[in-house]
Amino acid sequence: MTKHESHADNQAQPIVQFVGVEKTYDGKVNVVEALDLDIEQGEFLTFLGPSGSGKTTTLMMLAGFEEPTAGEILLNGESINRVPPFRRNMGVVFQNYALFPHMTVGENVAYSLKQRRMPKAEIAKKTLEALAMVELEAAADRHPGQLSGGQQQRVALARALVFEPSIVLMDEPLGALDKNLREQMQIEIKRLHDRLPMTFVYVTHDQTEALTMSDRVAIFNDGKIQQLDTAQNVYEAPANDFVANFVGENNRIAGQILTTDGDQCQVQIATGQTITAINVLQLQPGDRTNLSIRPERLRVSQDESGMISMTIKEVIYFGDHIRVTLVTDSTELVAKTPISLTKGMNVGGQVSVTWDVENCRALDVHDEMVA
Amino acid sequence: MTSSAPNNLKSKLARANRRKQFLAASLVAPLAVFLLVAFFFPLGKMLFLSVENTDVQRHMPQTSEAITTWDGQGIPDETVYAALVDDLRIGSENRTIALAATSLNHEIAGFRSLVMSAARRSDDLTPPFQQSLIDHNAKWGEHETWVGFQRAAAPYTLRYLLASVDLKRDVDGEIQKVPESRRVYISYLKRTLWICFVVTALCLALGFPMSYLIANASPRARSILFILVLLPFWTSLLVRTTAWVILLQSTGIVNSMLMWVGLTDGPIQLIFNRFGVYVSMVHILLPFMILPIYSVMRSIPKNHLHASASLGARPFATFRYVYLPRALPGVTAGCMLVSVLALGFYITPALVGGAGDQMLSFLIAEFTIRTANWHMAAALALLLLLTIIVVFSITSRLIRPSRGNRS
Ligand SMILES: Nc1ncnc2c1ncn2[C@@H]1O[C@H](COP(=O)(O)OP(=O)(O)OP(=O)(O)O)[C@@H](O)[C@H]1O
Ligand SMILES: [Mg+2]
Repeated sequence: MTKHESHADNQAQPIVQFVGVEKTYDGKVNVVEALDLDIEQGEFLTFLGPSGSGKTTTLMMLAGFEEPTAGEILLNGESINRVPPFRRNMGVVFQNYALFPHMTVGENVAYSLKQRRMPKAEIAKKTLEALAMVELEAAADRHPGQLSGGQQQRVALARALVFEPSIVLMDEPLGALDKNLREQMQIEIKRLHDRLPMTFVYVTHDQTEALTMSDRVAIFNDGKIQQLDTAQNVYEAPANDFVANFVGENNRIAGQILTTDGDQCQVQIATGQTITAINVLQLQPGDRTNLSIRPERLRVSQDESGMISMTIKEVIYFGDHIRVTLVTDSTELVAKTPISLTKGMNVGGQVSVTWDVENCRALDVHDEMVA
Repeated sequence: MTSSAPNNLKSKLARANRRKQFLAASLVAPLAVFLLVAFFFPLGKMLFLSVENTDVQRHMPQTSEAITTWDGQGIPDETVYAALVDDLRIGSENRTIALAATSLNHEIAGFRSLVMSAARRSDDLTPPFQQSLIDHNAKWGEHETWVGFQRAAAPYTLRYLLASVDLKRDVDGEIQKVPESRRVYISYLKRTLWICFVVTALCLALGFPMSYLIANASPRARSILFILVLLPFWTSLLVRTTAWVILLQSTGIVNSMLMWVGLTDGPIQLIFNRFGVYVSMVHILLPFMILPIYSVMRSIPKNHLHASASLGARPFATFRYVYLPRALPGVTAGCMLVSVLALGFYITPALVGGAGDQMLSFLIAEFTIRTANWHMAAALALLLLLTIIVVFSITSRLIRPSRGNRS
């Protein structure tokens, strides 16, 4: 493995490339299918997806604990399929921390440095620095069992970072923590990433976590990456019906393409109305489609000026906004509306909704219900 | 209010705890009673035999009574001699004097014939008995004779316990080693410990890899391996041991194979020696090593091994620094089980060992079954029990994982 050159020279080359990677455990079903993925130098990439979608499997193949059944994984342009995990120089943080219970916190952190046969003084110095980075210098002589969940997680982080790996892999590292601690740790991890010249690959099925922390998010489903994009694009411009429904709240209106016109199309929906939408997937006239509109993009007005007339079914007060559920005979929509606009909106009242064309996307029809 | 509140709370807590303890105690009460009646009481009674000393008291009651008042200076006065003659007369009539004489002989060699001949002539003796007895045999006038008698007539004795470690008291009550030619028990003890050590080491050497194999096998292979390990449990110890006799005897399968392959010309002695003892004891005890190690190995998370590898540890380092420390409690448990069981082995060495391969329990059996010396059997049993306790505490200390050691 060549020592990688300076940051600038490498900008063009991704640090990790998955080329046609497949993985099957039982020889029948591919849990990862024809995966092509470039991980950029220094980015914070998150794998987000429902349970069983292949996130952990992908991460474990990168770490070297699982072998791909087809395809190749490149690190700095060189295949690492045959490189055993202990030579890959990747820091890994596991969901349940996997701290060694028979060693003290300090010994846990020093472990990787000892394996690299560093001088004792340097080991002590680096260990202390790493523990200081997660504000746990005082706990060096304690055993992991004597620490709280959040503290153990921080030790696991320090242990994975102390030997300055080029890539740090984290598999749902915050899954076992309660909500407050999780949010606090999210910020800490994000700060560490900003400070250190390392690439972070992060697995979660918490979408808020994915959207707030990542430079890019890879949405997994059925062993395939459904969309790989910035957090904003994944939310604002979902590439397909699955992503639209998996990430954030989505209004889904079933319909059929009537005509297409450049990047726009006319869609007939169940109410009989025809709606203009962005034709994201280049669908053809006659194709079935699900329209996707985010709840905060719906404008509710208390007169008949909108596109669709609807009845208010439910109003929920959230403090900073109001969530209104609207129904017609065939459709149910959810709108998130600023409080200032909701005076006089009561259950049973008649309203109409409207939206901007660029916020209505015509996507494919994904049959499976998504949690 | 402020000062009384804590006390109040404390007493409430104490009351609540008492209720809980009472409930817990009443739950285990039947077991406790059973253990007391069926285990501790008989065991205690048996071990008590090792210091009990009632033969002389029972069969020479008057002398035993009289001698308690002797101050141990010179020789006793006439009352003791008179009591002795009485006892001798009654004893030879009832034919119980021989029992007392045997017991006395344990204390001082030659006492048996001294007492027996005096008993035969007891009707000829005339007062004053002191003079009459000394005339009969000068030994009755010796200080040592009476010191020995006083010791033999005491209700408790350390004689058997001392004998079990090849020690005895001389005439002055000093503890000293028995003559070289009569030292046997210590060599049995040493041999017992050595066999126990070798068997434990062999079980560990064979059992550790086997446990690892089972713990990491696929579920199907695991259940097959498990059956193979547990199979011996379903056959009786006796059957298993005799099976080894059949396998290893000079006309047995193993020897036939060796000769057929041409490794030897004639049969090798594989049984009725130490080799046979090791082979069959290891075979019988191996499951006790494998099971605890296996169950601990199963509980070692894969993640920890992965974490170690990701931190740059080669497979051997991962084994040495992560796997082994986690597996040690199982190793400790296995070694303790095997060594403690091995110390008490009797049937197997008796069947497949030679004369030089018998262990302490063989001696205990000898004393109970053949010579009916319950005192000596009890003393040796106590010695074995103490040995087991010592070995138990040493093994549990030696290989306990040292927490927080920073090497
Ligand atoms: N060791 C294994 N042997 C057999 N099948 C496995 C193994 N590990 C995972 N799988 C299967 O592979 C599929 C993908 O698993 P994976 O652990 O990658 O999912 P994931 O996306 O990490 O899910 P989660 O969010 O629940 O952790 C699942 O259907 C799972 O049942
Ligand atoms: Mg997972």
